[in-house]
Amino acid sequence: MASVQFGSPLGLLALAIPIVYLLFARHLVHIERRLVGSLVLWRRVAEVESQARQGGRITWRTLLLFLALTAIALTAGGPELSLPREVRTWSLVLGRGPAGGLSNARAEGGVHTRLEGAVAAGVAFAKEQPRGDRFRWIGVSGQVFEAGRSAAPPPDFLQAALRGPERKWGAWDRGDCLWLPVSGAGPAAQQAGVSRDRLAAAPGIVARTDAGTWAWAGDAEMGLQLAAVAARPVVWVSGAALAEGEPLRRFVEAWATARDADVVTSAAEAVLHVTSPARGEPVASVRVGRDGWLASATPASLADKRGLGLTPFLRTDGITYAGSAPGRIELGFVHLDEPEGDPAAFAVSWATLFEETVLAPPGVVAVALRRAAEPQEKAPAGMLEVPDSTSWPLGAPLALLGGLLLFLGLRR
Amino acid sequence: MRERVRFAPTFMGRLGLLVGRLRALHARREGVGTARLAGGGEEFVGHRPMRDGEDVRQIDWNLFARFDQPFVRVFEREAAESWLVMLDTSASMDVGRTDGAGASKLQLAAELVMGLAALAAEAGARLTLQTSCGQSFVVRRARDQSALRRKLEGLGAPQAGFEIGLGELAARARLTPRTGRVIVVGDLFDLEPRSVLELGAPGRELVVIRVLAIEELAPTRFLFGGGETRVELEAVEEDERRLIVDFDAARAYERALEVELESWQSILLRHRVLWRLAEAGETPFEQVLAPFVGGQGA
Repeated sequence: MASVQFGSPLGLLALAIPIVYLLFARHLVHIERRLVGSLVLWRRVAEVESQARQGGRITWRTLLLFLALTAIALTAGGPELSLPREVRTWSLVLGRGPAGGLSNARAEGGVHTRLEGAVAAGVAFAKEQPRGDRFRWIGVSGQVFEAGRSAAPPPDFLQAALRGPERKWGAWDRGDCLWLPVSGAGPAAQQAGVSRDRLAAAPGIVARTDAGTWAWAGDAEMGLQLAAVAARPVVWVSGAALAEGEPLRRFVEAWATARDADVVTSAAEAVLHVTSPARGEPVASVRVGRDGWLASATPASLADKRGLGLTPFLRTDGITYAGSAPGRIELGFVHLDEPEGDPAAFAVSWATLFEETVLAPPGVVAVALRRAAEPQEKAPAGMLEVPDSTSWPLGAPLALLGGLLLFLGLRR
Repeated sequence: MRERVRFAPTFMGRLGLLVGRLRALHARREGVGTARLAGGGEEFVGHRPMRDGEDVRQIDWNLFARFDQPFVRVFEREAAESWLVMLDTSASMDVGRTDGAGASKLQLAAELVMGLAALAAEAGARLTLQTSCGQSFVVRRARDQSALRRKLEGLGAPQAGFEIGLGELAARARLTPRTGRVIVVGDLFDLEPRSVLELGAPGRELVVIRVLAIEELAPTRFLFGGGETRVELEAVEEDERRLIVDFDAARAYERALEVELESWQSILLRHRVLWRLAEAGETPFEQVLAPFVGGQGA
């Protein structure tokens, strides 16, 4: 259905003029006074109706002038007649990870974080799209913020994005997506659009080893230097499936050793938190597996309710037995047997999950993510596929109509 | 401030032409040398509308064919009578366009009185003028017309307590058997046809000349012709609250006025009273008085 839209809604304040005119019209009308000798006859035919009409009857002239002023006032709002068009939903894919927290110089001299710049670029893109389009902001896994043209995601949504693992852009290379990266690294978009500010180099900590933290001065490839001795990152495990001696606990320890991390079982600021339920009522085991390995698992009684809001990793018969979120892996079983088949497949499968889920140690951002980058603007392929809505400006016809009504209203 | 009556320099000439038409009429009727309008004998001096009870053989059929109204010939014995002119001089007679494009009702009424006085003098009749503000004046001879003119030009605002209106004037009228014609001139808004008919008597002719201004005759055209949506009407002779009217009311007024005029005309014609309607500033006094000189008035 066609609709009328206003390019300058503030201009509609001018509608107050015809309304005020209508309210005061009868006080503005100048009434001629005439001497007559036949007032007796006038009274006989006109007194009742004329006296009654003084109290606010709207004359044709008043109505014409009111309509004329209304038409002219509407032109101040920049009216446009729009034909119906397909409503599009755009995915605004935010870059993730601590690189988003790096500060970046604004063109006008101010400073903001790279993530703030990415959000601003997304909002600017949204505002350029036709009214009615919807926008899905993509943050960390499982978090989507749907908004209109000018709304930005809330702070907690953005905080989660800062803690998330680095974005795997390939899954979002579609014509309805706009990438909002926070670093110069990453693949080139084929279908998706890209909008990125100029990124200034952000010197800082790029690695953490036994020897301490390594900082990048930002001015040379090999500008790493030992900055300070720092504590090792920790992986916090809890639950029956991760108890000492459990097959999965052995894998976690091996992975942590390779990452120069410690495995702890008490609350700590961890780069990864792996949890499983405490042992409960014995239930029948299930077979779970993926990526070439298979194992029997003893699920928790409420296993089917676990994993909600997580990205599934192990799923059997519609029930999620393992799922992940940035910095967090939740298991739905209390025991996992030794895997059957290739043991390496089991290790690679879980290691991939851990690598995708683990958070960078606080303050550590890879050199590739800290590098400067040129601004980039590329429209999503979807913008070319769907034509813009057809609209016609109504200002001129309305002004013409207003002028005609004004002429008729003022004609003597 | 009421407008004074002023007679244009050409007025007396027009008056002479009117009298001349009367003489010519008589000359055609009675032959050269017998066109005397007053005096002894049975000489023809003019026409008047037929009255109740008169012999149909007295009808001038030529005039009947022209006016669709029966007229009878008047001979000098009958003409040697007196005429009574009752003139409305109330403030309402001041209404009318005084911007140079027209004239007030009083101006036309005064011209009519002057015309009637000239015709009366020509017919040898004595004319008595009585005004609604209590003034009275008698015209016996042609030379009295100059005094009458000054009298009419001196008509000023009615003095408080002296304005009695045409109705009261009619009620107080002194009529004698020699009063052969009674002529009422005014806007008649305060008069009923019955009051005029009560002035009648056998052998007496009644004439009613109603003078109205254009704003009274056609308010939709004159008061609202400029696109006005409402007009405030003020009575010239009443100290009452004003009336605000709109176009619809003006149309209703015109319909009511039309009904009233038709009623007047119908009643008066039924009683063989001569009825004339004149528009101030538009209708020449000669046209109003045309039936008196055998002409055809509009």
